[in-house]
Amino acid sequence: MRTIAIKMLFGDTAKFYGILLGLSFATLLIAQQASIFVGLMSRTYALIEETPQADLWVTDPTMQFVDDTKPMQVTALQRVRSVDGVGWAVPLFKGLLVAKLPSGTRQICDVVGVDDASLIGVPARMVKGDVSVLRKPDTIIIETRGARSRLAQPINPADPSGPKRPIEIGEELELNERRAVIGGIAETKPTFQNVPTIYTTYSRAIGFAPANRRTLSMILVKAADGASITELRDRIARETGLAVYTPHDFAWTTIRYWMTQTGIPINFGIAIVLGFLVGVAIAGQMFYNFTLDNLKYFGAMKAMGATTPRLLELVALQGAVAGVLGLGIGLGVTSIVGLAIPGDKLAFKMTWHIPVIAAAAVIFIVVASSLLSMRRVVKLDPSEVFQG
Amino acid sequence: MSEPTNSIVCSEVFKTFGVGDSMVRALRGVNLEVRFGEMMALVGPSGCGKTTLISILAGLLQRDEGAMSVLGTDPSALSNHERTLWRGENVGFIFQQFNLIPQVSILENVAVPLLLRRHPKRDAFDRAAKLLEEVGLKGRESTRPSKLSGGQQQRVAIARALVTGPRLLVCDEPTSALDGATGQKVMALIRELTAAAERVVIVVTHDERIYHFADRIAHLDDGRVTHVSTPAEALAESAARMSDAAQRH
Amino acid sequence: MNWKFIALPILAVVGIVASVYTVAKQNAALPSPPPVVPPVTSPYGDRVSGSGLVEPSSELIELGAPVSGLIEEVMVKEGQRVVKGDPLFIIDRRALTAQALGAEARMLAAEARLEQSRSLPKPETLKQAQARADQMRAAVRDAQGRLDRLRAIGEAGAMSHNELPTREFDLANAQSKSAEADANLEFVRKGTYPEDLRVIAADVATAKAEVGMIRTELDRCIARAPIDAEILRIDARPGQYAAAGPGAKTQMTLGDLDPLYIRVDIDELDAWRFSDKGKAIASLRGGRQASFPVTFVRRVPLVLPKKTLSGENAERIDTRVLQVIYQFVDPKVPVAPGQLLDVFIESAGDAGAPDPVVTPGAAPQVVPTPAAAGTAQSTPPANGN
Repeated sequence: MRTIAIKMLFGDTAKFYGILLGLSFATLLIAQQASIFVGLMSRTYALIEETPQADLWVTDPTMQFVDDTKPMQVTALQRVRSVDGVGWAVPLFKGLLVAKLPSGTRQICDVVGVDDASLIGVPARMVKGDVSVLRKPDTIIIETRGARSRLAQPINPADPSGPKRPIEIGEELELNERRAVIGGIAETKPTFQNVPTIYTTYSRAIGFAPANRRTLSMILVKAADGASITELRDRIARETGLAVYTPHDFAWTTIRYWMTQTGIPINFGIAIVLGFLVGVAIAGQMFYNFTLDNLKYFGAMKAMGATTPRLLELVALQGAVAGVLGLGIGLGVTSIVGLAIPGDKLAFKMTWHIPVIAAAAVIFIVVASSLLSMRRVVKLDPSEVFQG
Repeated sequence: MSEPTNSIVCSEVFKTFGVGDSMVRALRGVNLEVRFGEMMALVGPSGCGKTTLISILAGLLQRDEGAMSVLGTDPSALSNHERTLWRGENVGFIFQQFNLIPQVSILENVAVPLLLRRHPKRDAFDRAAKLLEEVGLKGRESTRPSKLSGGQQQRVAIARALVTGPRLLVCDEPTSALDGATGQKVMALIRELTAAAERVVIVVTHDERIYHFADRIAHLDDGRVTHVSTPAEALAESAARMSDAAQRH
Repeated sequence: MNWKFIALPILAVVGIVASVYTVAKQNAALPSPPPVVPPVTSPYGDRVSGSGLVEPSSELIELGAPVSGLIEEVMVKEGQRVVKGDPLFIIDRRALTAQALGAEARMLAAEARLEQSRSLPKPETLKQAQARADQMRAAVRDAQGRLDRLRAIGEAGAMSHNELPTREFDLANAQSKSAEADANLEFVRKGTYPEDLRVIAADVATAKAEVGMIRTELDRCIARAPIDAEILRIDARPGQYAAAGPGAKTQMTLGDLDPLYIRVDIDELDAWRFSDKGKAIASLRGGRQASFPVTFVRRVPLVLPKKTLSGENAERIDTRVLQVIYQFVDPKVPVAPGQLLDVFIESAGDAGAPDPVVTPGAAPQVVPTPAAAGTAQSTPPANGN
């Protein structure tokens, strides 16, 4: 009987493709928009993901998100190191500086200064060169996206607006009138601001930066072996009066800032709701019509001794099949689009929540429309089947 | 009621739809007895309560008042669920519009009543194939209903109605969608397939050309069985009514 | 069976698998790179951390030029040990040497004049004057004789009236000449007057003082070691001009490296937790991980503005720090003055633990020294202890 129910669904070609298209499209819209939204949001905390060594991040208490650097007193580092349970604590500088490129153009860059000794905070995936190049004087490390795009150099130096090539190791930038030599190129996660990121040592970074009284943007903390990270977080906060975050909290604080302070969530929310409504409008409507069309057959079945649960089972099966197919195709198209378009062009990140949410939306559409149509089947007056 | 010769006994059966001003009194005290192995035709003008009556007899609706026994059971006394199972066990249906599922083969269509009751698949299809053979459609098992003529489709419907081996067969205008000759053949087939097994057949019809297949004809009017006649008497009555009408004009 | 029964489920399964792959790929945790050098960790639980600057126990002595001038000679090398008073470098002395010669000549002349004056009257001059006086006295007697004789004749009338006045005049003339000769004899006999001698003696003293002054100037051209120390850095080179005075360039840096000290900056907000009874350790920042035990020497009583050691030209005041001075236990510790180390000091909470170096017992939470007055405002109440 299940085969017959599925054949009923597949056999009604026009409606079946309508349902499939509607569900796929709804899945695509929901998953795609949600993935782009998550992608954009995940870019806001790329720095945190790039620095998995840190158990805790210490910042100025007024800092609202990762890029909102509010430097602290330099002695804050020593105060954090004084806290019991801190394994190590290293400084991190972060700030936007203008770089003068070899071609003479200027480009704003995000400069990250890492602890001189341990180099904690330099990206792990080096494409060219090695992390230890930072030991050489005036050396910086850039990332591949910046090298290819904003920092790219004209092939013909006489024609600055002509075709460009990626900037290479050994070329020199000027940061605040100071020489900076590219010593390595790293692969990093894209950032929200999408400006090139420059990695260098902490002391070199504050040399590049304009004179400020305070230069310590953040402190990365590793808990001592066996120390509880949440207890350590509370203890550092209590003893130093600084803000202390776990990477997870820091990322969420950042996301919350963008969610509450910008229109991004509303824009994407609208798109996702629209996708959902399209799904309801096309697929739900089609499925409802499909069930209504088959009402007389369900009526006949009921007359022939099919119990209500049995009929519900068949309709549910039809809904489930349509839902799974639509969901699968929609997710497939979404994934292929997401994988095919490079990360620096499209912020796309699919977390496990997104297929689940899309599935929930599809289930809702299918269940709602089949329940609506099943109401007619359940209430069906069997004598109706005798009418022509 | 326990008379073994009567498969259906109805006594003062009432059925009312709706309440207040919109109340329709469909049946107003129906009395009817049908014997085993008998084909009973229900005739009467539109709205006389034929459909309501067979719905109640087949266990699709419940009567309001009165006493009845169908195959030794009062289907109206059963719960909804029990009645559904009773229907599946005891009643076969033949509809005016056949109600064959267009997306699946006729073999599958015939097997539906068994499959709905979770009958083993293999046996269901074997029995369906056997019945298709009996209705003369051997070799066409994988055909879609839409590829068949009206008569052939109704044969499929007959096969489907009989596949569960019901003792009561309810036919609703089985020939009104067919031309005269085909209707005769279909009715002949129904007669042939039901005669042997002591089955009770109730046929609702307007078609006087098939009156002769019935053993008796119950005349309904205004929610009551006015009288029961033989096919010949019925045809004569009808001829007389026709001439009356002609004279009035 | 219809192709849809196969194709569509395959499509859907492929789609779901693609999304699972996407989720897995995009949510994989990034590899955690091992740090190039493990960062400094503290061996103590309850502790105070500070950054420490290695310095000589004498602190750094930045020697300037004593006088302005060209550097003539540098007499030491970097790393050389010197004792107090050793000459280090010399400023050009030629002009002063020349001046010294003139002054010495002038002194000699004055001394000669004094000697000369003291040697008067000379005997020859005295004799000459005596002879003259004697001679004049003889001339008077001669004129008296002639007059007497004339007068005697005249009584005899044997003389002319004109002769007598001539003779009387001659006598008077002789008498005054004799008086003059006597006066001259007296003048010569007395020699130089004492007043004149004092003037000449003063001239001699002046000349001597001038010579002494130039000699001192000459000595000032030699820069000498103020203490026993090691030469840490030499900026002086022969031929360079060295200016003297406030703000002048440092020519040479000295310091006593035996023992080496480390000056630790502790944030004023952590200062209340500092205890000089706690064990302490200084750790190298980069390159390799090594830690050296240090012992407490003293604390700087005044809380100072911290200089941010940023490498910038203009160093900036950031916060205020308590400076504490520690001494390296190992005299041969492989660190050099000027090096920056991370210092961890066991704080009061752990100080009660038995320790051979620290006298066990109840160490007060905040050591009540006069220095604490400077930090008192920023000291939070140590309640709960």
